[in-house]
Amino acid sequence: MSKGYTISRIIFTVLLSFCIAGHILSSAADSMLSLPGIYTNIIRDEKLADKAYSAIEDDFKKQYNTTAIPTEVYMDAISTEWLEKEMCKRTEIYLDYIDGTYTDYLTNFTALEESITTFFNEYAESIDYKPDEAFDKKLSETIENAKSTIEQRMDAFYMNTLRDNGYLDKLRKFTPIIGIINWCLFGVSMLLVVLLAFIERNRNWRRLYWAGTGFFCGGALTAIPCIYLLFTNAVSSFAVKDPIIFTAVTDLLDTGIWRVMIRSILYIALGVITITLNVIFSKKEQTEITDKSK
Amino acid sequence: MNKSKNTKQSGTDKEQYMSRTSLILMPLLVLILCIAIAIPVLIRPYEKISTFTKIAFMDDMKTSGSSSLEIVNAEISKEYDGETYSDGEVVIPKFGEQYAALEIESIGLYVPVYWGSNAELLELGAVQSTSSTAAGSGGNVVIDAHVNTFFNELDKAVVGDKVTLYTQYGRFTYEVSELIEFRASDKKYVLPAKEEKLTLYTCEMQVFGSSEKRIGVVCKPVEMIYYNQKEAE
Repeated sequence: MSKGYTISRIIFTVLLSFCIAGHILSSAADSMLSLPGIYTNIIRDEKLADKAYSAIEDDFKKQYNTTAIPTEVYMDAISTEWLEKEMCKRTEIYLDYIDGTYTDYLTNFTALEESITTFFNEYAESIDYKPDEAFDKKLSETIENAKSTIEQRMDAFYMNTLRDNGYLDKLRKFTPIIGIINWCLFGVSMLLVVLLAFIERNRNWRRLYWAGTGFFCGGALTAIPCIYLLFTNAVSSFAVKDPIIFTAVTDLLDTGIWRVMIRSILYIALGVITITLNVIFSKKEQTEITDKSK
Repeated sequence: MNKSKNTKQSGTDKEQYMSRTSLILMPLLVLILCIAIAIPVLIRPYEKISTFTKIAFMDDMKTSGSSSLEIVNAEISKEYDGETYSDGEVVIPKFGEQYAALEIESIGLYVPVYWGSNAELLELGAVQSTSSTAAGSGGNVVIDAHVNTFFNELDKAVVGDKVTLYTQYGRFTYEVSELIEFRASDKKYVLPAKEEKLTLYTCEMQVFGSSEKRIGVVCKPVEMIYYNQKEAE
């Protein structure tokens, strides 16, 4: 086995390793951006709507000191079921936005608007106040403030903030590319596997040894940072301690890490199996050749 | 001749096959090589995002799930029977500490006063901005509270009403000297002053929602009693 051949095998194996690592990362990212089920499951499993309901109630309780509008006026018009439905719908809409198929969506706040209007009218009547321009202005301000308070709490994944700051638009440009990159890397990886097998075409049990090495190294390259993140529990040090955002974001990050981890483990396993088979059978092959030569 | 040919052939075959140890070690060596290539390539992108990640994943906030504000409620006695002084030491409290109790007997107002101003403290009583001076230290003592709760009756105060501020270091009596009205953006009444005075204010009670207008009283000092003597400088 000449040095030149060994070096070329190593170079192709290193290339294969990076292609596999890239394929693992891009396929995990692609699945995270294209599967709304990941997000809606987090909303349902972590009961984020219950947390949002309590947070909204607290917000309106605090606002009572300055607005004198009882919390029930708002809370009677919303429910956890409604919040969950809206949170899931909004997340799907934002994912569609990232995907480039955005359709404008407005949450139906009719019940809330009616509840606030009724309270204002009844209160005005109780103090013999004739509704005027100031009344209408205050009413519309209160409705807008209530909507914005609720919408803020429904945005568990920070999507609205990310969109307002232009991050979703940046992501939107990359989303179609991620899918293409993923398939390109997979294609290049397969080509390298074929190339490495071709180089070893004379050795039955050596054909996939270098490919196995590439799978193992590619998987390990992405698994090592994941293991570090999981062992140090780095995700839980997320600075935003708002219960809804913290739960949603850390769960999402954990899901992402595990998606990379599972893919890495699969490639490592594939690599280890291939290498083991090579170690066992290439020795037999070597013995047979040696025997024949005798 | 034939024997030597066979030996040569066998040697070439052996060379073409890596030993079992090499087969096992090779993947690890390739992995080390890959890591050695990846590290310098990834250093720059890592540096770019490290500022963001350090802020987004602050380790020191790992366990603090709630507000870092430590609210301290204190027992402030109206009936101090110890030794008193006409001049004394002012004790500046910590943010979030209840440092006084405010009383306007004529309108039935008696509320705790917290040092520092934020939404959480405004839930508990009246608050004094840390930018104003503590009672008894000579300056503008600015206290405010929500109109729907603690300062609900403040608009009923009239010129001449007695206002007492009981603190842990003294009792300070004032008299309402002026009824005031100003816009929230107008800082005229809350700015620091040279002479001791007490400014109390709240939002104007509105039929619906909060108002931009503030109403309150300015009080002049009548009696300053300290519970501790000022240390000689």
